[in-house]
Amino acid sequence: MLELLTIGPRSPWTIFDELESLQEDMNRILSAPEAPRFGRRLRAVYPPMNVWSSADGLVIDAEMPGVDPKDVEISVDGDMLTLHGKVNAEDPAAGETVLRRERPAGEFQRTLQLPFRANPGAVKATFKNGLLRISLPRAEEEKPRKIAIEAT
Amino acid sequence: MNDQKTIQKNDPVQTPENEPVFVPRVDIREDAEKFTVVADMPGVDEKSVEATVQNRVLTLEGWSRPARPEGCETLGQEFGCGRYRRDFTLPDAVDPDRIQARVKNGVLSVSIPKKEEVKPRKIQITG
Repeated sequence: MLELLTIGPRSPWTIFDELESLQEDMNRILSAPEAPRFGRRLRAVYPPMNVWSSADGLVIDAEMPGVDPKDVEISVDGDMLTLHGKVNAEDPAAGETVLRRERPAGEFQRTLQLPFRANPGAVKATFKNGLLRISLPRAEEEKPRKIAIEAT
Repeated sequence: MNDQKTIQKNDPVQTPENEPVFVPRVDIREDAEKFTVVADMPGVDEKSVEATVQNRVLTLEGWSRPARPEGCETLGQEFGCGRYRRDFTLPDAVDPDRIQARVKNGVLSVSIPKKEEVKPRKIQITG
């Protein structure tokens, strides 16, 4: 008889537990120090990027899961960085039905203006686990330099 | 009753409790043999992703560790790192024991074969 009174995992009360854990998750996401600074609206921009500045320039991470690195073209022209490529562009195989499609697909292009002119010969890019990392060093003549003050 | 089956579990990454949790975007495709679930989990590799089946619920989970370069200052952030998690209820017509999963370029692909008896088959017609 006692067993019948036990609130099991499928009891209707678990909905409140679920709501509570959802609320906790939301609070966690909103209060996390790593929470994205931009809103969801900008998710339409592909690929999403994180940008860091270092002593010799910028480091940019672009989130592009499933992209073949061979399909991405990175070009640097003065202070403009352009990423161009295609993502998930292949058609479904013959006999396959698409039941759900949430992942971005198609061609993309994104251009960023850098705060300096980059040295195109020294730009490096690596791709790992769907994350593209580009390091852009400043051009030599744009590096900060100390100016000696002459005593008169 | 313990019908939990771990398909892949090598050393899951330990992450703090207050990490953000993301719902990965998925594509789902179906053909005569199987269902395929493809989930975007940028930043995960085969050591930091897990697919579990329990009570006909398929759970995909992955961890992506923040990789802020050394000595850098953040200028802009459009995506975060943390835990990915999404659950799917499997239809009765699939065989949970033969599910296979692989991860490549931050994309987890899970192949869920259908049971033999629900696959389409040609019926021989005799004259």
